[in-house]
Amino acid sequence: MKFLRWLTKIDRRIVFLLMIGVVLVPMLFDIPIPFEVGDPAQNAFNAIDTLQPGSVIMLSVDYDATSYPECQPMIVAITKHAFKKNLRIALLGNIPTGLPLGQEALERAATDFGKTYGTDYVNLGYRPGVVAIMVGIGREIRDFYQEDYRGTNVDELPMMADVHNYDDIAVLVSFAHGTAVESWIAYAGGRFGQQIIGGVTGVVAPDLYPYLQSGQLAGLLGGLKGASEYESLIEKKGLASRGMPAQSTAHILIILLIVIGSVAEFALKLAERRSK
Amino acid sequence: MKRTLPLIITFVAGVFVVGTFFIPREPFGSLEQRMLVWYSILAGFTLLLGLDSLIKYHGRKVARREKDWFFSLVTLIGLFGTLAAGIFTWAKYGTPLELASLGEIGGFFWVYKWIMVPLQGTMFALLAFFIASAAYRAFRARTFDATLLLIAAILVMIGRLTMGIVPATIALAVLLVAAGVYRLIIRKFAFGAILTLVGVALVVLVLIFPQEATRLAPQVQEWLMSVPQTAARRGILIGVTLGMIAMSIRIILGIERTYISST
Repeated sequence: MKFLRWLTKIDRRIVFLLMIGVVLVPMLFDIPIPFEVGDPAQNAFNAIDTLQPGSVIMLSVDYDATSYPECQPMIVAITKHAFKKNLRIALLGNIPTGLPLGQEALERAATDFGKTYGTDYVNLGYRPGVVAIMVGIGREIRDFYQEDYRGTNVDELPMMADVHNYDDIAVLVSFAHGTAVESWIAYAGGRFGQQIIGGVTGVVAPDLYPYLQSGQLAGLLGGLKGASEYESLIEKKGLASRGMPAQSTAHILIILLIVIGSVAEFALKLAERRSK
Repeated sequence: MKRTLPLIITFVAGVFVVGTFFIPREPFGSLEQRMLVWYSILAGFTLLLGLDSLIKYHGRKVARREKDWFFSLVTLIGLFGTLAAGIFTWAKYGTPLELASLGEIGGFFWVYKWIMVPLQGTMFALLAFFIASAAYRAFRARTFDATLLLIAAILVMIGRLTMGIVPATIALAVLLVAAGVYRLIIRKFAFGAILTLVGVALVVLVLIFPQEATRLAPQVQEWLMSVPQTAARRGILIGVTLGMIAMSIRIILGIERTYISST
């Protein structure tokens, strides 16, 4: 009975230690993880893979470092995929503290693929007024972004010569840890028919399934799994693929803890019943 | 006048913006764009207001040595330190977002990558520990509803596993059997029998067809997310949106006045 009671109230410090263990151990080893790619990630991949070379995709950094493990592998994978397909990238963001993460991913991918700033990719930076920006780009992007993040006039960037509004953007990808994707869907998708892909944290992904079914989202990368699926599709293992075993062991630990807690509680109740 | 003028401004601006949104033809299209640019400029000033408020609040706490003043000092040092790093990198490269500054101690990207990112990441990583602890304490199959929620949650977690699907499914089956047997003993026969049978069937099927179980788990998860979850989410979404529309109309018409209640 004492043991059963202990099982129903395991000290949380023990739970914390177990969690550290199950997260750390898989990270020390390179564990191969074959798994099937889901439709949401496959659709996101297809939407970018089928674009004509030279098409412009817009990447919106709507997350910051709190969601680095989930969203950063997505932006890294998509920038690599886009440059491999010779697409042009326009980066902007609605969270100023997250924009450097997008800049880092873009610069590293550009170096790997030998792309030139201004011709193959631009960073438009941050402007305040989230919804105003989303709606305003539909008419003319220059009304809000006269200069890029370096202060260079947008008209001096060769890539931007034929980019004025959503008509010139093939796909918009929003990497978000909040409601930004829903706003892009409402203002850029709903009003201007912009094709949108969401790259979001695992917590946000369930909120976006209605838009996926209605076709308002062309694809969805949800959490670390979505990111690792995209990595497997472009055949470049990265941060997400390396993190998936640790996430899996953490999930298994949580499942086991739930089962142990519930089973012990049933047993304890029955034991108490019998002793009465 | 103090109350009437904001109400008039809100009404005129609200009706005008809604009108221009639905009439893209000139001159409304250009006017809408102009108002959006104004909004963006105004939003920029709110950042300055936030900065002013932050400095005043924490500056006062430090100056008066109020409770936890040291944390306020750290906040101010962080704020001005990051600002200094940004100005330093900007002066050197023409932009704070220069990746080359990652290798320079005190460069903006160095501060961002090696101080801000780990700090924010650490804060968020704590969630894993609290979720594990809270799930263990709160997720108990005490009632019918709780059991259904538990089964759905565990199935979603299993579907997102890249390894260990079979043992995790057996653990779920053990839970189902235990919950079923417990209910049979306390004479809740119908629910108890269903849970026990499902649990036993799950164990048998998973042990006989482990590969199929591994293949099916993500599909089950996808179905749960796409059908029951989406149905519930869609209902919530429609409700929230209707509420937002109703609230917006109330604000535009001046029925809802809490935003000027302090005046």
